[in-house]
Amino acid sequence: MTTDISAGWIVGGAVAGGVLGGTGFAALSHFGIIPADSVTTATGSSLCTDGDCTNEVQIAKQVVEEGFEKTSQSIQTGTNTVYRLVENGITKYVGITNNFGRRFLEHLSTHNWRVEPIDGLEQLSRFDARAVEQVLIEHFGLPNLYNQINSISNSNSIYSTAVQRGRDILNALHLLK
Amino acid sequence: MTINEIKRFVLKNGDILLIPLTEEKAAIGQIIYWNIEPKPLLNPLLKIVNGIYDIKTLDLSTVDISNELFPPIATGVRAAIRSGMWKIIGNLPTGSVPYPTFVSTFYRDDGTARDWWITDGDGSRSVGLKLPNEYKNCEFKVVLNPPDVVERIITGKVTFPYGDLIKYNRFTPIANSTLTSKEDKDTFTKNGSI
Repeated sequence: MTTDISAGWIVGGAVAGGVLGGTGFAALSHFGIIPADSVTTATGSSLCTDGDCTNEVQIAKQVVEEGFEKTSQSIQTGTNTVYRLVENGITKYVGITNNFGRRFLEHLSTHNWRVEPIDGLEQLSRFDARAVEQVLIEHFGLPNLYNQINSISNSNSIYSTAVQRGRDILNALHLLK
Repeated sequence: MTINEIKRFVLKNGDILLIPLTEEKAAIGQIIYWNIEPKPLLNPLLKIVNGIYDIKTLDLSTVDISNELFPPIATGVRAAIRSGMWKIIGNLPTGSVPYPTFVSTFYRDDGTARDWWITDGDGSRSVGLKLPNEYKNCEFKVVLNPPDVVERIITGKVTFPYGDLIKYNRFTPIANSTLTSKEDKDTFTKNGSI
Protein backbone atom coordinates (compact mmCIF):
# COMPACT_ATOMS: atom_id res chain seq x y z
CA MET A 1 0.00 0.00 0.00
CA THR A 2 1.25 3.47 -0.75
CA THR A 3 0.06 6.93 0.03
CA ASP A 4 0.16 9.92 -2.26
CA ILE A 5 0.69 13.04 -0.18
CA SER A 6 1.90 15.21 -2.99
CA ALA A 7 -0.52 17.99 -2.09
CA GLY A 8 1.38 18.72 1.09
CA TRP A 9 4.76 19.33 -0.39
CA ILE A 10 3.39 21.11 -3.39
CA VAL A 11 1.66 23.69 -1.26
CA GLY A 12 4.57 23.90 1.15
CA GLY A 13 7.04 24.46 -1.65
CA ALA A 14 4.81 26.90 -3.46
CA VAL A 15 4.15 29.02 -0.44
CA ALA A 16 7.79 29.00 0.60
CA GLY A 17 9.45 29.83 -2.63
CA GLY A 18 6.73 30.49 -5.13
CA VAL A 19 8.57 28.04 -7.33
CA LEU A 20 5.76 25.76 -8.30
CA GLY A 21 3.14 28.21 -9.45
CA GLY A 22 -0.37 26.85 -9.63
CA THR A 23 0.59 23.24 -10.00
CA GLY A 24 0.05 22.59 -6.32
CA PHE A 25 -3.44 23.86 -6.45
CA ALA A 26 -4.18 21.76 -9.48
CA ALA A 27 -3.22 18.83 -7.30
CA LEU A 28 -5.47 20.04 -4.50
CA SER A 29 -8.24 20.25 -7.02
CA HIS A 30 -7.47 16.67 -8.02
CA PHE A 31 -7.99 15.64 -4.40
CA GLY A 32 -11.21 17.62 -4.25
CA ILE A 33 -9.80 20.09 -1.77
CA ILE A 34 -10.02 23.18 -3.91
CA PRO A 35 -12.68 23.72 -6.60
CA ALA A 36 -11.30 23.36 -10.10
CA ASP A 37 -12.36 26.84 -11.15
CA SER A 38 -10.20 28.44 -8.51
CA VAL A 39 -7.17 26.60 -9.83
CA THR A 40 -7.26 28.52 -13.08
CA THR A 41 -7.22 31.78 -11.19
CA ALA A 42 -4.37 30.61 -9.01
CA THR A 43 -2.31 29.53 -11.96
CA GLY A 44 -2.94 32.65 -13.92
CA SER A 45 -2.18 35.22 -11.27
CA SER A 46 -1.21 34.74 -7.65
CA LEU A 47 -0.95 31.40 -5.87
CA CYS A 48 -4.10 31.93 -3.83
CA THR A 49 -7.38 33.20 -5.11
CA ASP A 50 -7.81 35.85 -2.46
CA GLY A 51 -4.13 36.64 -2.15
CA ASP A 52 -4.02 35.04 1.28
CA CYS A 53 -2.71 31.49 1.31
CA THR A 54 -3.54 30.82 4.98
CA ASN A 55 -6.68 28.82 4.32
CA GLU A 56 -5.15 26.78 1.51
CA VAL A 57 -2.11 25.91 3.59
CA GLN A 58 -4.31 24.96 6.54
CA ILE A 59 -6.41 22.66 4.37
CA ALA A 60 -3.34 21.11 2.79
CA LYS A 61 -1.86 20.55 6.25
CA GLN A 62 -4.97 18.64 7.26
CA VAL A 63 -4.72 16.50 4.14
CA VAL A 64 -1.11 15.64 4.95
CA GLU A 65 -1.80 14.91 8.61
CA GLU A 66 -4.72 12.66 7.77
CA GLY A 67 -2.62 10.85 5.23
CA PHE A 68 0.17 10.42 7.73
CA GLU A 69 -2.15 9.06 10.39
CA LYS A 70 -3.43 6.34 8.15
CA THR A 71 -0.18 4.73 7.21
CA SER A 72 3.49 4.27 7.76
CA GLN A 73 3.93 2.94 4.27
CA SER A 74 6.03 4.38 1.47
CA ILE A 75 5.31 7.87 0.20
CA GLN A 76 5.03 8.41 -3.54
CA THR A 77 5.54 11.93 -4.82
CA GLY A 78 8.11 11.33 -7.56
CA THR A 79 10.99 9.20 -8.77
CA ASN A 80 13.88 10.09 -6.48
CA THR A 81 15.39 7.74 -3.93
CA VAL A 82 17.07 8.78 -0.70
CA TYR A 83 19.91 6.47 0.24
CA ARG A 84 22.67 6.24 2.77
CA LEU A 85 26.14 4.87 2.50
CA VAL A 86 27.17 2.92 5.57
CA GLU A 87 30.56 1.79 6.76
CA ASN A 88 30.56 -1.00 9.35
CA GLY A 89 26.98 -0.13 10.16
CA ILE A 90 27.70 3.57 10.67
CA THR A 91 26.06 6.09 8.35
CA LYS A 92 28.74 7.99 6.44
CA TYR A 93 26.89 9.64 3.58
CA VAL A 94 23.33 10.62 2.72
CA GLY A 95 22.38 11.20 -0.90
CA ILE A 96 19.59 11.22 -3.46
CA THR A 97 19.34 9.82 -6.98
CA ASN A 98 16.67 9.45 -9.62
CA ASN A 99 18.15 6.21 -10.99
CA PHE A 100 19.20 4.08 -8.06
CA GLY A 101 19.72 0.80 -9.89
CA ARG A 102 21.82 2.16 -12.72
CA ARG A 103 23.96 4.32 -10.46
CA PHE A 104 24.94 1.55 -8.12
CA LEU A 105 25.88 -0.89 -10.84
CA GLU A 106 29.16 1.00 -10.61
CA HIS A 107 29.59 0.35 -6.90
CA LEU A 108 33.06 -1.12 -6.45
CA SER A 109 34.46 -0.35 -3.06
CA THR A 110 37.46 -1.83 -1.39
CA HIS A 111 36.24 -0.28 1.84
CA ASN A 112 33.42 -1.63 3.95
CA TRP A 113 30.94 0.67 2.22
CA ARG A 114 27.43 -0.49 1.38
CA VAL A 115 24.56 1.47 -0.09
CA GLU A 116 21.12 1.26 1.47
CA PRO A 117 18.00 2.79 -0.08
CA ILE A 118 15.98 4.15 2.85
CA ASP A 119 12.65 2.49 3.54
CA GLY A 120 9.66 4.39 2.26
CA LEU A 121 11.83 7.12 0.67
CA GLU A 122 12.24 5.55 -2.72
CA GLN A 123 9.72 7.47 -4.80
CA LEU A 124 9.96 11.10 -3.77
CA SER A 125 9.76 14.34 -5.69
CA ARG A 126 13.05 16.21 -5.98
CA PHE A 127 11.86 18.72 -3.37
CA ASP A 128 10.83 16.01 -0.90
CA ALA A 129 14.04 14.08 -1.48
CA ARG A 130 16.21 17.13 -0.84
CA ALA A 131 14.12 18.07 2.19
CA VAL A 132 14.56 14.61 3.71
CA GLU A 133 18.23 14.55 2.75
CA GLN A 134 18.79 17.82 4.61
CA VAL A 135 17.02 16.60 7.75
CA LEU A 136 19.06 13.39 7.71
CA ILE A 137 22.31 15.31 7.23
CA GLU A 138 21.43 17.35 10.31
CA HIS A 139 20.35 14.20 12.17
CA PHE A 140 23.67 12.44 11.62
CA GLY A 141 25.71 15.65 11.70
CA LEU A 142 27.58 17.05 8.71
CA PRO A 143 30.98 16.66 10.46
CA ASN A 144 30.32 12.92 10.78
CA LEU A 145 29.51 12.43 7.12
CA TYR A 146 31.38 12.41 3.84
CA ASN A 147 28.86 14.97 2.59
CA GLN A 148 30.78 18.16 1.89
CA ILE A 149 27.85 20.55 2.07
CA ASN A 150 24.25 20.71 3.14
CA SER A 151 21.56 19.78 0.65
CA ILE A 152 19.65 22.95 1.44
CA SER A 153 21.54 25.83 3.03
CA ASN A 154 19.94 27.49 6.02
CA SER A 155 20.24 30.78 4.16
CA ASN A 156 17.97 29.44 1.41
CA SER A 157 14.48 30.96 1.56
CA ILE A 158 12.85 27.53 1.41
CA TYR A 159 15.00 26.08 4.20
CA SER A 160 12.42 26.23 7.01
CA THR A 161 9.56 24.85 4.94
CA ALA A 162 11.74 22.18 3.41
CA VAL A 163 13.12 21.00 6.74
CA GLN A 164 9.64 20.91 8.24
CA ARG A 165 8.43 18.91 5.26
CA GLY A 166 11.39 16.55 5.59
CA ARG A 167 10.69 16.03 9.28
CA ASP A 168 7.00 15.39 8.59
CA ILE A 169 7.85 12.69 6.07
CA LEU A 170 10.43 11.02 8.31
CA ASN A 171 8.14 11.14 11.34
CA ALA A 172 5.25 9.74 9.33
CA LEU A 173 7.41 6.78 8.40
CA HIS A 174 8.75 6.44 11.98
CA LEU A 175 12.27 6.91 10.68
CA LEU A 176 13.48 9.33 13.31
CA LYS A 177 12.05 7.87 16.51
CA MET B 1 44.06 0.83 -16.55
CA THR B 2 44.15 3.13 -19.60
CA ILE B 3 41.13 4.18 -21.62
CA ASN B 4 42.13 1.75 -24.37
CA GLU B 5 42.18 -1.10 -21.89
CA ILE B 6 38.69 -0.47 -20.60
CA LYS B 7 36.59 -3.21 -22.10
CA ARG B 8 33.25 -2.10 -23.47
CA PHE B 9 30.39 -4.45 -22.84
CA VAL B 10 26.64 -4.51 -22.70
CA LEU B 11 25.16 -6.20 -19.68
CA LYS B 12 22.30 -8.55 -20.57
CA ASN B 13 19.75 -10.46 -18.60
CA GLY B 14 20.97 -14.05 -18.22
CA ASP B 15 24.66 -13.21 -18.48
CA ILE B 16 26.82 -15.75 -16.69
CA LEU B 17 29.67 -14.32 -14.64
CA LEU B 18 32.89 -15.95 -13.55
CA ILE B 19 33.66 -14.80 -10.01
CA PRO B 20 37.23 -15.79 -9.11
CA LEU B 21 37.74 -16.72 -5.46
CA THR B 22 41.37 -17.76 -5.74
CA GLU B 23 43.75 -18.13 -8.68
CA GLU B 24 42.31 -21.57 -9.47
CA LYS B 25 38.78 -21.58 -8.09
CA ALA B 26 35.73 -19.54 -8.99
CA ALA B 27 32.03 -19.22 -8.33
CA ILE B 28 29.39 -18.68 -11.00
CA GLY B 29 26.80 -15.93 -10.99
CA GLN B 30 23.90 -15.02 -13.28
CA ILE B 31 22.36 -11.60 -13.98
CA ILE B 32 18.61 -11.65 -13.40
CA TYR B 33 15.91 -9.00 -13.35
CA TRP B 34 17.77 -6.68 -15.70
CA ASN B 35 15.77 -4.41 -18.00
CA ILE B 36 12.37 -5.62 -16.94
CA GLU B 37 9.24 -3.52 -16.60
CA PRO B 38 8.03 -2.31 -14.23
CA LYS B 39 11.57 -1.72 -13.07
CA PRO B 40 12.14 -2.75 -9.44
CA LEU B 41 14.34 -0.48 -7.29
CA LEU B 42 17.02 -3.10 -6.94
CA ASN B 43 18.00 -4.31 -10.39
CA PRO B 44 19.72 -6.16 -11.82
CA LEU B 45 20.14 -8.86 -9.22
CA LEU B 46 22.91 -11.40 -9.10
CA LYS B 47 22.13 -15.03 -8.47
CA ILE B 48 25.08 -17.04 -7.12
CA VAL B 49 25.13 -20.66 -8.20
CA ASN B 50 25.76 -23.23 -5.49
CA GLY B 51 29.18 -24.65 -6.23
CA ILE B 52 32.89 -23.90 -6.56
CA TYR B 53 34.49 -24.57 -9.93
CA ASP B 54 37.97 -25.05 -11.29
CA ILE B 55 38.64 -22.09 -13.57
CA LYS B 56 40.76 -24.05 -16.06
CA THR B 57 38.37 -26.95 -16.53
CA LEU B 58 35.03 -25.15 -16.13
CA ASP B 59 32.36 -26.46 -18.51
CA LEU B 60 29.22 -24.31 -18.33
CA SER B 61 27.07 -27.06 -19.82
CA THR B 62 27.61 -29.13 -16.66
CA VAL B 63 26.67 -26.31 -14.25
CA ASP B 64 23.20 -26.42 -12.71
CA ILE B 65 22.43 -22.70 -12.60
CA SER B 66 19.03 -23.27 -11.01
CA ASN B 67 20.70 -24.29 -7.76
CA GLU B 68 21.45 -21.05 -5.88
CA LEU B 69 23.83 -20.63 -2.96
CA PHE B 70 21.73 -17.89 -1.29
CA PRO B 71 18.89 -15.64 -2.45
CA PRO B 72 19.72 -13.11 -5.20
CA ILE B 73 21.53 -9.93 -4.11
CA ALA B 74 22.30 -6.48 -5.54
CA THR B 75 25.90 -5.49 -6.14
CA GLY B 76 28.08 -3.34 -8.39
CA VAL B 77 28.16 -5.82 -11.22
CA ARG B 78 29.17 -3.41 -13.96
CA ALA B 79 32.08 -2.03 -11.93
CA ALA B 80 33.29 -5.53 -11.10
CA ILE B 81 33.32 -6.50 -14.79
CA ARG B 82 34.80 -3.21 -15.95
CA SER B 83 37.63 -3.49 -13.44
CA GLY B 84 38.42 -7.03 -14.56
CA MET B 85 37.44 -8.50 -11.20
CA TRP B 86 34.64 -10.58 -12.74
CA LYS B 87 34.12 -11.75 -16.32
CA ILE B 88 31.12 -12.52 -18.51
CA ILE B 89 31.55 -16.07 -19.83
CA GLY B 90 28.16 -16.80 -21.38
CA ASN B 91 24.43 -16.25 -21.34
CA LEU B 92 21.71 -18.68 -20.32
CA PRO B 93 17.93 -18.34 -19.94
CA THR B 94 16.94 -17.07 -16.52
CA GLY B 95 13.66 -18.93 -16.36
CA SER B 96 10.62 -17.54 -14.63
CA VAL B 97 11.33 -16.80 -10.98
CA PRO B 98 9.34 -14.46 -8.74
CA TYR B 99 11.10 -11.29 -7.64
CA PRO B 100 12.72 -12.09 -4.29
CA THR B 101 11.61 -10.56 -1.00
CA PHE B 102 14.10 -8.23 0.67
CA VAL B 103 13.97 -7.05 4.27
CA SER B 104 15.28 -3.78 5.66
CA THR B 105 15.24 -1.45 8.61
CA PHE B 106 16.57 2.08 8.95
CA TYR B 107 18.67 1.00 11.91
CA ARG B 108 20.25 3.50 14.24
CA ASP B 109 23.99 4.03 14.47
CA ASP B 110 23.88 2.40 17.91
CA GLY B 111 22.89 -0.82 16.16
CA THR B 112 19.20 -1.01 17.10
CA ALA B 113 16.52 -1.67 14.50
CA ARG B 114 13.59 0.61 13.78
CA ASP B 115 10.49 -0.62 11.93
CA TRP B 116 11.17 -3.51 9.59
CA TRP B 117 10.11 -3.31 5.97
CA ILE B 118 9.77 -5.90 3.28
CA THR B 119 10.14 -5.27 -0.42
CA ASP B 120 8.90 -7.68 -3.04
CA GLY B 121 7.29 -7.60 -6.47
CA ASP B 122 4.36 -5.66 -5.01
CA GLY B 123 6.46 -2.82 -3.53
CA SER B 124 7.54 -1.95 0.01
CA ARG B 125 5.62 -2.06 3.28
CA SER B 126 6.28 -1.90 6.99
CA VAL B 127 5.83 -5.10 9.02
CA GLY B 128 6.50 -3.83 12.53
CA LEU B 129 9.29 -3.49 15.06
CA LYS B 130 10.28 -7.15 14.95
CA LEU B 131 10.98 -9.03 11.77
CA PRO B 132 8.52 -11.92 11.47
CA ASN B 133 10.24 -15.32 11.36
CA GLU B 134 8.94 -16.02 7.87
CA TYR B 135 11.26 -13.31 6.52
CA LYS B 136 14.42 -14.21 8.41
CA ASN B 137 15.92 -16.07 5.48
CA CYS B 138 15.49 -13.09 3.15
CA GLU B 139 18.34 -10.87 2.05
CA PHE B 140 18.73 -7.34 3.42
CA LYS B 141 17.88 -4.58 0.92
CA VAL B 142 21.34 -3.21 0.27
CA VAL B 143 23.78 -2.77 -2.59
CA LEU B 144 26.82 -4.75 -1.52
CA ASN B 145 30.22 -4.13 -2.97
CA PRO B 146 31.65 -7.01 -5.04
CA PRO B 147 34.32 -7.93 -2.44
CA ASP B 148 31.43 -8.48 0.01
CA VAL B 149 29.95 -11.01 -2.38
CA VAL B 150 33.23 -12.89 -2.73
CA GLU B 151 33.63 -12.99 1.06
CA ARG B 152 30.06 -14.22 1.48
CA ILE B 153 30.67 -17.06 -0.99
CA ILE B 154 33.90 -18.08 0.72
CA THR B 155 32.82 -17.78 4.35
CA GLY B 156 29.07 -18.31 4.09
CA LYS B 157 28.58 -15.44 6.53
CA VAL B 158 26.01 -12.75 5.86
CA THR B 159 27.72 -9.38 5.48
CA PHE B 160 28.01 -7.32 8.68
CA PRO B 161 25.81 -5.95 10.16
CA TYR B 162 22.86 -7.44 8.27
CA GLY B 163 23.11 -10.99 9.61
CA ASP B 164 22.98 -9.81 13.24
CA LEU B 165 20.20 -7.33 12.53
CA ILE B 166 18.00 -9.98 10.97
CA LYS B 167 18.75 -12.53 13.65
CA TYR B 168 18.82 -10.41 16.83
CA ASN B 169 17.08 -7.16 15.82
CA ARG B 170 20.32 -5.32 16.62
CA PHE B 171 24.06 -5.42 16.12
CA THR B 172 27.09 -4.24 18.04
CA PRO B 173 28.81 -1.43 16.18
CA ILE B 174 32.45 -2.12 15.40
CA ALA B 175 33.52 1.43 16.14
CA ASN B 176 31.82 4.48 17.47
CA SER B 177 30.99 7.14 14.95
CA THR B 178 33.93 9.49 14.71
CA LEU B 179 34.39 12.83 13.10
CA THR B 180 35.17 12.54 9.43
CA SER B 181 38.27 14.49 8.51
CA LYS B 182 38.46 17.01 5.70
CA GLU B 183 40.88 14.64 3.94
CA ASP B 184 38.34 11.80 4.17
CA LYS B 185 35.69 14.00 2.61
CA ASP B 186 38.02 15.16 -0.15
CA THR B 187 39.06 11.60 -0.94
CA PHE B 188 35.47 10.45 -0.97
CA THR B 189 34.40 13.24 -3.32
CA LYS B 190 37.43 12.76 -5.57
CA ASN B 191 36.66 9.05 -5.94
CA GLY B 192 33.19 9.78 -7.27
CA SER B 193 31.25 9.17 -4.08
CA ILE B 194 31.28 5.37 -4.13
